[in-house]
Amino acid sequence: MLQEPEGRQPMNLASLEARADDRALLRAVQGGDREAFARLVELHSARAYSVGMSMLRNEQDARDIVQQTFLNVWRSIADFRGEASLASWIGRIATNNALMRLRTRRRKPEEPLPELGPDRPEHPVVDWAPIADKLHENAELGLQIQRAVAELPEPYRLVVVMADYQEMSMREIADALEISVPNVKTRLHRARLALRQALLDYVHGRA
Amino acid sequence: MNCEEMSAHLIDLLQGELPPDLLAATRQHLQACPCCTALQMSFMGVRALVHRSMETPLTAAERAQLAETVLSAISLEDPGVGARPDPMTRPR
Repeated sequence: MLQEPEGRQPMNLASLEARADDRALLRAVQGGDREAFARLVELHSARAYSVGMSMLRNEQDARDIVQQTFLNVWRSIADFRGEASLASWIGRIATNNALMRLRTRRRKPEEPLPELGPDRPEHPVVDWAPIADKLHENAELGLQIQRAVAELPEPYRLVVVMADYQEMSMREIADALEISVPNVKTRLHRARLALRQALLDYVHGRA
Repeated sequence: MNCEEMSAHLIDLLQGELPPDLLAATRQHLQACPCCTALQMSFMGVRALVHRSMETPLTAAERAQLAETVLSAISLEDPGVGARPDPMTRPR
């Protein structure tokens, strides 16, 4: 059966409630309420930490990203108008901080894009069927995908985190990484093929 | 539209960024091509799985510790900003 692409997800009741909570918290923080800010950090630190961990793959670096991100949040929260959700805004700040850290870490010029395999799967029809039913019920698959993302070469890992976790647009990713939009699409396509293969290997017991 | 062209548009389709004038052609191709449909579904599955699996859960203690670290850093940087008003000096 043909399925519609997912694109941006429609808001459900929980996300609407979360937004209402965010607005109340935001007003308190913008009014200088330090306890409200501590609550905001507690609510959203996992997001910033996850961005840091997935992009930098180092626990201490991820903690530093959390600290830097919320310092940035504190400094600029007065200007935040709520066009995006707080979680999304904080995630973007964390992403930018992680990218800056990666740039300072990099001492040599960017290397050519590493190969990840063919741009088309060999058996797209038969291969995916066993995994499709397990996607929603098997928590172990979540761990497998985390590992598979962590093992991707950096240029691919970054676009996956930004596109699929942070839900950034192709243009936003291209601007953040200072590459072209077609380059972002190529990386994302290859990365998804590699992740798909990693899941298939796991399901078929070859991993 | 052939499979190679479809492959080039698959990312846009999944990200909700496909130009409207290409939507009908891609749908038509997908209805006729089980290979591209399977690839599309697998990419949707990977995308959904990445989205919900990337968040690293932190314990309440870890989150509280991070909040404390951040607040300490803010206090060092700007001790007056954000401090709760002193009830003794609050204007009546």
